[in-house]
Amino acid sequence: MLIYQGVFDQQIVKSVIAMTERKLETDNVAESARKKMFNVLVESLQNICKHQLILNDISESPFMIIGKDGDFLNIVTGNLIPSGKRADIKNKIDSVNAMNKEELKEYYKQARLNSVISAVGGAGLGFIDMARKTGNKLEYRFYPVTQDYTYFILNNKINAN
Amino acid sequence: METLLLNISGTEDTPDIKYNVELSEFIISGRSLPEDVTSFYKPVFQWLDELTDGSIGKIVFKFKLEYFNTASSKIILDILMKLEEIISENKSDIKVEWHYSEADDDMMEAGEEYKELIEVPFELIQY
Repeated sequence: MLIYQGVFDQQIVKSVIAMTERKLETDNVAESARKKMFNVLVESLQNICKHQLILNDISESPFMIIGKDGDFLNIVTGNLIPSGKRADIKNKIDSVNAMNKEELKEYYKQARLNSVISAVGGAGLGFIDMARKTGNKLEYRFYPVTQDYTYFILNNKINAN
Repeated sequence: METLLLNISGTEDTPDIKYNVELSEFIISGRSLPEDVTSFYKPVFQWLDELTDGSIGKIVFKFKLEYFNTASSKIILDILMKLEEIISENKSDIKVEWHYSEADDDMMEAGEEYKELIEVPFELIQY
């Protein structure tokens, strides 16, 4: 449906959201699914804005793919991370994926109370919010690029109906 | 009491924030996903600090948001906690109204979650 690769900034986030909303409306996707899409798009794309690493090679710059696969809308994002952050990201997502709806609600509540807005403007609540909004598990993979850098791929699935 | 001004026009990614002196109403509406929440909301916290310094009458804080991202969700909590502090220090007559669309269960739930956390008169209003 939509593919983008390159530098991510707030203008790109706004454009992607506007294009996706129009496309989903034209395709008669249910309003609840469109809302979930909006939520997950903002969180995942702003994550990239805040954490992207740009190396020289364009093929290693961040990307985003939005598509429909059967009953699911998929938002796939990929960006380079320092390899040292891999374990931390994995732990965060695994703990979110292990929780049910009620546990996620409680976890979000506690995490928000304890959160401090970081230097890049994040609250550290993105993964929890994605899991709460989609009701699905976050799928992820890591692909080592060099010893220092790893590609982090995240797939959020949203029930289209 | 000195008139405190707060008038921020909304955009596609930032909310409209106004203080209506005559009605004693603070209203935040629209979408909140600013690039940098801290700098965007700075004037609001400055305004709240000025409120703390002065004598405050009755103020209604209306939240009528369509969408907010997780960083804004933290900021909203900070605003509500600030109100809690103002009430306990100045015994001010502050009330929060959380407006949500009938079709928006997430926004209703978000309001309920804030209400549970904060010791401020808090009313959920469906529109």
